Amino acid sequence: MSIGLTHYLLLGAVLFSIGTYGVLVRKNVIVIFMCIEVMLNGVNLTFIALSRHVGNLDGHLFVFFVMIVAAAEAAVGLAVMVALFRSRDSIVVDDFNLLKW
Amino acid sequence: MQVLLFYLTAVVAIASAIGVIRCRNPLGSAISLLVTFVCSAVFYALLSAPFIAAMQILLYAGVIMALLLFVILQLNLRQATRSNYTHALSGAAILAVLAAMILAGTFLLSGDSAGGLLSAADFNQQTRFVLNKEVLLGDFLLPGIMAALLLLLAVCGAVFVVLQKNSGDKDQIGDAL
Repeated sequence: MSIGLTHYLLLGAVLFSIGTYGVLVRKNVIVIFMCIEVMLNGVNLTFIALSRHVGNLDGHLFVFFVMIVAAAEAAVGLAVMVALFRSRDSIVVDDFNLLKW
Repeated sequence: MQVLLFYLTAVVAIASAIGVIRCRNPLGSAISLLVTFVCSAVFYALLSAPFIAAMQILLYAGVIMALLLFVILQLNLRQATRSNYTHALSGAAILAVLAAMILAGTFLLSGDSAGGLLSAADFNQQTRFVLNKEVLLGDFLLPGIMAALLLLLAVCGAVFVVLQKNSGDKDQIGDAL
């Protein structure tokens, strides 16, 4: 028995779903951010597995760019968190309802 | 051997991903996330993507984790008096399970007909290294430059947001809010 494409795809799906659950459930902005990173990891795993399946490097390049965007997102997102914490003294999402209709 | 490594790493990856959600302290979540990143790097190495595995360790486990820990420690979070979770636990669980089932169903249906993975030797023969002058530095040169520009702008934006001068008690973002 060997590890096939489906194993990796299923693992990616599980990681993505765990991340989704965390994003929906947690209140701490930093933890929500971390759950988004878990979702990105699940998608990256899918890309790499399918790249190995198809036999070209497109998936690797996609993952490369996803990682760069994730780094940019981390820089900006964490800066916004620091700014929000300074103005509101809290990083619980319930305290930020200004865009709520 | 590879099968054992896959299953072992998969169990650790899923357990630590759950740990990210379950940990009370954001610091614990960050450590769990670090374990998830390392496990992902192991999978990339298993899938003969050593460059991506190295990037995963450097960029995710290095840069993003350092930023996260810095912010967590800087904000010096008080212990949450209220619940850590929203009220929508069951709804979120249903949604997440639904997403998992849809994804898994799609993958299972399409994966059976499409066959399995290429062998590592075949894959290495068919492809080049990502940082080749015909891949990332050739066809994908412009997206690469754009990505570099995006990173630069993101860093500038982050510095701009954090370093805004305080006007009175509240800083400008607080006033804008």
